[in-house]
Amino acid sequence: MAITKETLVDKIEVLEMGQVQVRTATVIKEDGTELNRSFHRHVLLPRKKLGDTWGDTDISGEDARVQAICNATWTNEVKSAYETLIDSQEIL
Amino acid sequence: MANTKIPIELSSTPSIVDNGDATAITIDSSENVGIGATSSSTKVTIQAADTDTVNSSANGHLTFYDDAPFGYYKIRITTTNRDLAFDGYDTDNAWKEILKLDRVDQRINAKGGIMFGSDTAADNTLDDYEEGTWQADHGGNNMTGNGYYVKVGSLVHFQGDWTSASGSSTSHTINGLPFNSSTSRGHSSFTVGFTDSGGGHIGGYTQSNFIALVIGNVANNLSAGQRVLIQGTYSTND
Repeated sequence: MAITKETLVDKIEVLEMGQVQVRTATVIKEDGTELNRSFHRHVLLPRKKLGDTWGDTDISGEDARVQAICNATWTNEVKSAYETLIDSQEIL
Repeated sequence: MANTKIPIELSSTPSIVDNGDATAITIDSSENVGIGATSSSTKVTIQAADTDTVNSSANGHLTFYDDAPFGYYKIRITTTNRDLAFDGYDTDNAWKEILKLDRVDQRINAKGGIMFGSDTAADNTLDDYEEGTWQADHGGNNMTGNGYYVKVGSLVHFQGDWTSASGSSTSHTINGLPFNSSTSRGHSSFTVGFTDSGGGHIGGYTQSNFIALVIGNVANNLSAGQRVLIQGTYSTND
């Protein structure tokens, strides 16, 4: 009876303004049969604001497919449009 | 009488046409009928070969259709878990799985969601439910603690017990919400139920994938090492 645990990115969603939503699944199996699957979520933004300063989002620790999608999606135009949108909606 | 066969030659308009060259239907001594099965423990049993894939009209146990275009449905058993799947033939000339009954976990999987009553609006389809965890970061570092979410349709409820890591910058924003919040439905608010921050916190608003801590209309910073217990609900775009 072999219990295994694997983690995989099982859903990658690109939103209109370039945000990339990533779902990571943790799968527990017994002899290859799935017993449990739990999820963790995070969102990667085209640009990230720390204080009043915009900077690039660090994606170096992301899954290779996620990195590829982010790099393909986050053109300078997308980054600029995202900054403009967030700045226009910021309350404080 | 065993091995009965009705030859087509007996009638010019036969009610049963038998072109088979092997046994296809068996009726046992209890009058149970087996189609593709040599025995049946119930009134009717339909047996076919392993028919996992949705892609072909040949992969199924039972087919319903009328003469209208795309009026095709079939029922099949999946080979993966022996689930019962219901497929429909769509207008793009492809079979699509519509519904699946999970044998092992006794669940229903509705591919496109569930609609109630006589409603026809796509927006009113219950098409998503998900639970999971999220990781907050503040001042440039991951926070320590736990965060959970439940998403029902386009509504996300999140909660978190987070402490800012030592060395983090002072900031009034916490990043890491599990889903991007709607950019067209306005901001949502959240509450802080507890904090050990000297300034105190009562809540704030959501934006994109972060939350902003405020008191009244003034940004309220959180410093390294300080803890907040938060919960809130916001809408996504979908």
